[in-house]
Amino acid sequence: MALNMARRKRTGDDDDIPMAPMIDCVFLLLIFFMVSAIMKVPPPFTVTLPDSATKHEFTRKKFNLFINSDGRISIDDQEMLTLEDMELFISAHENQISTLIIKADKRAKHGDVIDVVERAKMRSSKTEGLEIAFAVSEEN
Amino acid sequence: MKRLKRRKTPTLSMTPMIDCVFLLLIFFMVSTTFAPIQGLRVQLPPPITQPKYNPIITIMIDDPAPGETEGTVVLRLSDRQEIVQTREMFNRLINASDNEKIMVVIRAGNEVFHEQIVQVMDIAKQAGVDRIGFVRASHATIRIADR
Repeated sequence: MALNMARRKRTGDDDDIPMAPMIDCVFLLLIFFMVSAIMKVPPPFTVTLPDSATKHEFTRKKFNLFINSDGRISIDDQEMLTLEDMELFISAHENQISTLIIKADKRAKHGDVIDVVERAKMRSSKTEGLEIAFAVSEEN
Repeated sequence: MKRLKRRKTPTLSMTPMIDCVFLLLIFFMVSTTFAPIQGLRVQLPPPITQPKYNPIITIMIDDPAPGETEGTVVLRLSDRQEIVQTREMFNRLINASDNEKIMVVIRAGNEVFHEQIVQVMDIAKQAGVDRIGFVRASHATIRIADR
């Protein structure tokens, strides 16, 4: 007690709450969230997903493929100008894509969607094959 | 001597760093999404292998007429084919999936809206179809006729 009093006197008279354990906790949380965060990257155009009553849940991953109603394609925020570009991109990141999630606009043409699916399948047919899913609206 | 004793030991001021860390922490906490993505699984038919699924039902969707949003849907089971409405399609698929595992192959025109495809897939899933595949309209005629 006496020692405590003496110390307090030496450092000044404001009694401090020990900050170190809290900071440790905060750091831990920070690192956890930094590691686990997958940013939601919007495409360079708007995409309205179709509705569906049956749904299957997929974990959120990087490299989502967007197709809009005019047939524009982008992977995350990078627009793919040709199907060849897309194919190259997919083959370059093949190890990181287990399920290719295709977020196609409700007004996207089936021909464009199938083009993309075919190309993606073709690219990865050498390995065990790529799983493909069409994203649907999260509402209802 | 007296002066030396009084002088404080140099300390790093932690406060600005902790402020930064807090800011980052809050940013990542807010921006992190744990919610899974809702979707429908697609399985394309393997290129050459024999179909294990019997019977294979083909759903053909025509390009929509100008101004329309949905094309005509034709359902083909073995040799019969007929134009179907959404509700009928569900009943047909339910009947077919009663006894066996069935696979549905969707053959749709290039101009069909993605929304209608998803709607058809949705109905098929609800009717208990195990696998859904797609065939290109151009290749489809040959491939399906072969079987």
